[in-house]
Amino acid sequence: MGNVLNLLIRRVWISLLVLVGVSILIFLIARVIPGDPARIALGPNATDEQVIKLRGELHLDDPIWKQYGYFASELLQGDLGTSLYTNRPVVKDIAQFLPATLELVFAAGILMVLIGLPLGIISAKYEGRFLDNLIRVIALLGVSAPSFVWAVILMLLFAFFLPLFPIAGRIHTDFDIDRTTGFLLIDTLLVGNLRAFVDALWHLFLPAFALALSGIGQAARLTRANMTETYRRPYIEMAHSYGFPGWRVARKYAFKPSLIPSLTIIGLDFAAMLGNAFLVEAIFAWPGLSRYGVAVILRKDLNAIVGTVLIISAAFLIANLIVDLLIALLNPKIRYARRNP
Amino acid sequence: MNDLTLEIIDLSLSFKGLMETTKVLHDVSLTIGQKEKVALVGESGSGKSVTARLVLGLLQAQSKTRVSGTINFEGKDLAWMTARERSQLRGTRMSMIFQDPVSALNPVYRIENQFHEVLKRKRPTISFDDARVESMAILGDVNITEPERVLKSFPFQLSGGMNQRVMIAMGLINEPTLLIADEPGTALDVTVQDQTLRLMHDMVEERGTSVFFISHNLGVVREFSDRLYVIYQGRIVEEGKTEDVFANPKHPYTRALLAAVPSITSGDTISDAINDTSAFLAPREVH
Amino acid sequence: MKRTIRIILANPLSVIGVILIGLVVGSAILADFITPFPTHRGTVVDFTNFNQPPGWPNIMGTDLVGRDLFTRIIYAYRISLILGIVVLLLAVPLGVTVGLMAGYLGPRVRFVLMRTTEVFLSIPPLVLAMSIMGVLEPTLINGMMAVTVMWWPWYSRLVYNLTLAEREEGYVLAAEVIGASRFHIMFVEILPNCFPAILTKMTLDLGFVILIASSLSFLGLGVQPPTPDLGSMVAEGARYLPDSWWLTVFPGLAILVAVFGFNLLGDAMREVLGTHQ
Repeated sequence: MGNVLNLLIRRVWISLLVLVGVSILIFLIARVIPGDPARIALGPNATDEQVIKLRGELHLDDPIWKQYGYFASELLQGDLGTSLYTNRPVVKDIAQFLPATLELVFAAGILMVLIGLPLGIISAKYEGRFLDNLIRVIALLGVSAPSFVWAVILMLLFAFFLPLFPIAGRIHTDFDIDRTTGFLLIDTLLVGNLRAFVDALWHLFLPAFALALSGIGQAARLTRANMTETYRRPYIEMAHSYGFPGWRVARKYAFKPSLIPSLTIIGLDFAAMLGNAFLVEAIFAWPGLSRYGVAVILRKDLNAIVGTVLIISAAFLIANLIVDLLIALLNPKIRYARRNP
Repeated sequence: MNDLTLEIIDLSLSFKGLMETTKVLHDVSLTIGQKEKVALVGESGSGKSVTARLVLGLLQAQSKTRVSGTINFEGKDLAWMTARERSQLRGTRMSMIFQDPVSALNPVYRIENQFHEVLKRKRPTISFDDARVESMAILGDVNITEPERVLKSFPFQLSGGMNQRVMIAMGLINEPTLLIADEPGTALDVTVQDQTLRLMHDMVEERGTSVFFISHNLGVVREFSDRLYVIYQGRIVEEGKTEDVFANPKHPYTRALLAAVPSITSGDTISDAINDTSAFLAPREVH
Repeated sequence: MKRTIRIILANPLSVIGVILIGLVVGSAILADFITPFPTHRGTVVDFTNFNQPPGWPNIMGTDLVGRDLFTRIIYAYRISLILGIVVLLLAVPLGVTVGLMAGYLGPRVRFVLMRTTEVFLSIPPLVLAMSIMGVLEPTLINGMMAVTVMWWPWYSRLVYNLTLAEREEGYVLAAEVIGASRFHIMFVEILPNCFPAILTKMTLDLGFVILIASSLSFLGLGVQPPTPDLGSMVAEGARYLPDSWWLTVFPGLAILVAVFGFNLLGDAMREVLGTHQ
């Protein structure tokens, strides 16, 4: 297990480095804005004195590396500045909206793994047959439309045409649940309200499925590609030559070795979902980061933009760390590799 | 005639491609008696590996193959068996050893798990611990001095020669009547290959296992097999007792093969080395 | 080459892909001749015929100011395709150059370039493009810039991995032995061997660029009205669900058809050219 720990420490270290890189990148993007950020922030009616004062407060007259220094030291204290749109600390805004988005993304991630991987396995097992072709077309359709299109189609079909699911929102307004964690599925359980829990789950399903569809397609395609490649390996033939049953070969001999490369892509898909959540939230009026993010972008609210992007990137890096850790645990080659200097 | 372990009569095989059909075996016939070690020798692409896979029943189920002829295993025709019955023979009555031992073992499971899987083929209810005990015993037979450590290892943690011994042990642990060895150990270096082949030789002698030995290397075949068949472009061109063929090769292809022995590696084909290959299509020679 | 094309056309799925791409590209090029209402691409108002369900002559219905939806969709195709091609023409050379340099020139160059690439890849794709659009004005040119900035790192990673494998090959060593310049080795020796993989990815990506660009404009961060755009059409129409369903369904399906076509063809190319990642 020492290897895994070493690997984890190295990955955390690299992730922090990348996060610093992301903060520099975002900072630079925010500073190449044409025009004076102070004037944009204050609006067209501000006087010159007000603008000069704000420029001083925002250190806009210092050299750019010094500006980044101020920004970074505030960041380290957990301060992302104040949003010009809500007039509240950006950290507070994000803390309010992020849980809803994460809940949606996690649910979609679970659907992606639970549906995408089995589809990929079945497809590879029946390579070249009808079932394989069917799954391939479905998976390709899944990745061929942006999630807002799936959101619209699912909503029309399963909320309007067949009213099986609610049209919008996270939970019925009748339920008044304490937002302890911000994750409604957890909060409803914390107060022991099972009916509210079911209702929240009900509201979650369509948006999560719309968000998951392209991930499901991607996971199925990748699992299939990796597994069909594994199927050409000698140890598969060896397994067949010993007459192991087909499904056992699929599971123990083809799936497990090919899960390792699939996991990396699942990490990347998770990242894509953090972005695509914006699209789904807009259709289903899901009160997550989306409305906030788009609003602050349209208002050129720099602190809020930088903060939102940083938080989302951090969430992505953490997700990738977890994936790396899982890979290390699954892959004996990493677990038991002789330590190289 | 029912004392033959394996009898192949007029076996033909073709693969259906996108546009055309390629015939890779032309009326191949061969026999392997009880406790007999028989080699099938030919260059790569001559059809020797597909013959082995047909005996195991691995190709029959594929939609792109056309098979004709008879394969009798212990007097029973494989063609009359269901896919399930054929699969029941594999790993119990016959087993196979592969070219590259490292890549033929599952990289994500420990050796002990893989032994357990194999033992379950014959005795589905055998416990993990019982399987370990039996594996330890047979690993001792293949001269592995630390069976405990080997059983706990993953294939990539062991050397090629060690993996080869593991594979031989796995191939024999269920006491099959027929062991098919497809270029065993060609991926290993020559001395290790030599050692493991000797070991395999002793093991099958002791257990009375018949061996169907597939190779491109005449030198290896000479030491190992009782009889041999030479295959060229999907046709058997010569057969006989090993020493007879070596002493007095009759078919032009066999003679070319023998002349080329020192310089041949698995990638080359004989036809590259010799300009006029028309004589190789001459009819079959029997000793 | 001929053989490759023949194999691709032997697969029914890729034939469907080619047909879909043909329909999309053809309708985009010939839009002026196909539609009876070419002026509807711009600001036209026809309140005698607004918000009509699909029928004749408006086969996909009309929008809220009476413009023919089908007309707007095929003109939107034209803009999407131009955007996709421009983005790839900018992003691919940049990414390929970075990848070749990172893969072939020493470890320091590799560290700087690949860590930079990794930084770009650590921001979820859409979010990066969104934040760039956030500081720029939402115009077609800026949209292309934003998508280009998020796209090049994928090519630099692809080519980097390919270069790592190729540099060990005999032909590279041979070129080094006879003293070829590093520029020559990277662009003349190694690069042509990466072409099949790059070409396959470009085919798949043309669809995905269209997808991402439509997502940006769906969020109001892309092409602005009255320029027809599939993403903003869906966003506008979504407010009138479910009654005026055609306002969202047809532009949405239009995106699906285009991206699906490129994916089908790209998949077939990947199989034939053997370029799995």
